[in-house]
Amino acid sequence: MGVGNYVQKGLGYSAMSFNLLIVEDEPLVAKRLSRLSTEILGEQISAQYSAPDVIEARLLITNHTIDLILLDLNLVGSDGFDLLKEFTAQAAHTIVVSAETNRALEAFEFGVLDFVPKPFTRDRLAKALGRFWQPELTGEPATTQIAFEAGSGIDVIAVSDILYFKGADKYSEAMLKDGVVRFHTKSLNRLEDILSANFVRSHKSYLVQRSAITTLRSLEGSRYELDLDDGSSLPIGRTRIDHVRQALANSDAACGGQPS
Amino acid sequence: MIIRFYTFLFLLFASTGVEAITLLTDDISQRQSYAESPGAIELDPSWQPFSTFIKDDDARFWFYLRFTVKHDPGEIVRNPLALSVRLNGVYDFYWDDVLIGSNKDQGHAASQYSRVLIPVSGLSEGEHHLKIHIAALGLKAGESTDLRIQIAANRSNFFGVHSTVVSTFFIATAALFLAGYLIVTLRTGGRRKGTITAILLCVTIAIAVLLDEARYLFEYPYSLQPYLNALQPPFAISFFILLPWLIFTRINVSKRLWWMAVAPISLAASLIEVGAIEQYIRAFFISNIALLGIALIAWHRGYTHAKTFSIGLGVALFALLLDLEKGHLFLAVILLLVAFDLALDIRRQNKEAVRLQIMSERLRADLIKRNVQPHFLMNSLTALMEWVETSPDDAVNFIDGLAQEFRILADFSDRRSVSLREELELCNIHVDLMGRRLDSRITLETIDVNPEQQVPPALFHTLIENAFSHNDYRGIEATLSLTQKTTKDGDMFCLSVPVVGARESNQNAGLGTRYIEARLEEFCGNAFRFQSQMIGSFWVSEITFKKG
Repeated sequence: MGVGNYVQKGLGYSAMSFNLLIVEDEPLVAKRLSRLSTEILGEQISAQYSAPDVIEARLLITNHTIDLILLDLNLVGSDGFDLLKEFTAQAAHTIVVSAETNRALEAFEFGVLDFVPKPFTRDRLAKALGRFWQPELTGEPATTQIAFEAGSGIDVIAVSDILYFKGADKYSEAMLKDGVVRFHTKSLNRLEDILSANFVRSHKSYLVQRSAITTLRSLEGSRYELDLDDGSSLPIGRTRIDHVRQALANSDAACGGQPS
Repeated sequence: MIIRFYTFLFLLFASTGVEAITLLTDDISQRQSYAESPGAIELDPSWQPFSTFIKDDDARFWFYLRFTVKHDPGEIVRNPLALSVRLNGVYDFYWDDVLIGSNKDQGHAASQYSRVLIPVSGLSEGEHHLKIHIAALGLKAGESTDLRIQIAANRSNFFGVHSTVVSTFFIATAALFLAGYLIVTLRTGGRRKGTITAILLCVTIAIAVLLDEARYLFEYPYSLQPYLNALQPPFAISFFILLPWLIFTRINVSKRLWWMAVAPISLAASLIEVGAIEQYIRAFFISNIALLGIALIAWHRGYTHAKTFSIGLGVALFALLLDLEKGHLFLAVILLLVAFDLALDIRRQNKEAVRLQIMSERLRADLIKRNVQPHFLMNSLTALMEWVETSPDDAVNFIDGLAQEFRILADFSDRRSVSLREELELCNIHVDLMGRRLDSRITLETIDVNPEQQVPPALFHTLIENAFSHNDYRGIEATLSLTQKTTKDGDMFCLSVPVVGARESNQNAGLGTRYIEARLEEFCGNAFRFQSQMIGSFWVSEITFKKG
């Protein structure tokens, strides 16, 4: 099975090209990732970069728009957990390619698109790359924490502490339950990719924590709003009302409750 | 002298000499003897009671006994040639008018015993006279001198045996058994600190009590007695040196020699007379008090074994107070203390043995796990996949090398040591595989190594793995260097690897180092030194196997 299967099912994938960064210190593995990615994605890759270490990777991320990172967690001189935090805080999606399968759960909790264990076949890599367009197919453990860039370091915040994300141009703002607003470099679309298990896209500018929703209210003029448990209200896009209702119904089935 | 000593030891346990002296009881005594009151001693016919009542404080009495010494020509005269004496008063014993014994001190209790030796020169065959002069110093009018004498070995007051005989045998036997057991542990369980001192102490205690009591217990040529007497002081002094040395060694106090001043001070202080307490009992007392104080301080400061010795010496002090006459109870407690400390040590050793066994099993598991170590194996397989698809010849060569490495590691997994030749074969294969993977030219050079030297399995292999984990050797030419040197400390191995692109100041971090230390401990206990440091642009790891 090649990536073509996913391409055909994808949401406008064929019209979309992107920049790929391979962060891998083993020359042969980096070479394999590059070769197979090119074979799988063909011309959909507008640019492909390779970095053998974190410093070079940071430089490339700073100087180029990177959409997808293939990341090895065991780089010379680096801690896998720090790598995970740092790279998942970036705007780009991350796919981990690692021999350390015991870190897979941790990686998914940080919101990576996929975890590809080494050694990997062409098909397995194609499947992982396909998730760039169809992240809901992952079926992997839900993301439980999000890494935010903060000054010179990285802050990790539990997903359950976030009320909603608000789109801000190519970036996002997270409204935390304690009233603090945090900035995230990922777009709302990419956050939705990795947070769809717990969040619902209620509006083109809002991604809302399902468990924080108390009421779905209809207003005059076929407008709708969501009341959240902190007392705030967020608008629902006209085209998304069915999607929200469906998502909330699924939540009810799971939780045994129902927003009024 | 030595021959005489061994003769004594032989006779001590194997003597069957004849009884060559007979105490005559039916005549010659100046006064009629009589049993003053019924009791164990009085019922023992071997005791000869001579008693009289004191008329005034300055009373003096003479008793006479006649002995017949009879033995065949050439027959060796053996003990018992001593007389046990029980008396209230001061006595002088004359054998054929020659003074042979005097207590020069009034008996302080009715059960007090003294001993008088009959000189061997006076034991010619025939009749002899014993004159006993008694001065009733300190006695009041109306009191009895209560003189009783017997041939020493016949005394009995404990199930037919004198209690001193029982305690002497108990102490000597226990001490010799404990010494024997300590020797066995020394040969089978490895040397523990202070074992030799403990053995010497036990032997010293056994010999000292036997020397003190032998004349009443065993038959041996009477002429040996002066030599036996001469042996007593050295063994007594040895006790007062060995006991503190053992305690200081076990507690592991620093400046042991300085603390050993307790021995001469105790002996010197014991010269001060305290009532009728014997000098050696006073020395026991002073020495024990001093050692107890030191042990308590050590306990307070958290020294190992100090608690055991503090409690033990406290009990010993109590035992000494209960038995001020002979000190046998004190010696018994000291022996129990040594045995208890040994038992605790054996328990510790057993625990340590179990720990080492578990560690050994874990190390074997670790080595097996190395075969499937994810980072190495999975990256190798990924590289292999790439070669299979793009360069099959390289794939074949790599599989061959990988198989060799796994085969050697599997062979190593059940072994505690391997020859350096085998170890280097493994290292070279690993270096070659990594070089292929990283597209670099890495070599391992060896300088002055002894290929037959035994080392723990995968020791240098782990260090080399560490080098590849912590450095960026991609696409370069580099040499790893292993040198063997013989130093005054022992055999030293020095692995030097170039530091390239490393961003960790400590390349020792990680499981590899713990594996190495555990392996070294399993291989040679604590007799190793392992250290690593950055020297110039190289990370240098030194492993020294200490001599002995």
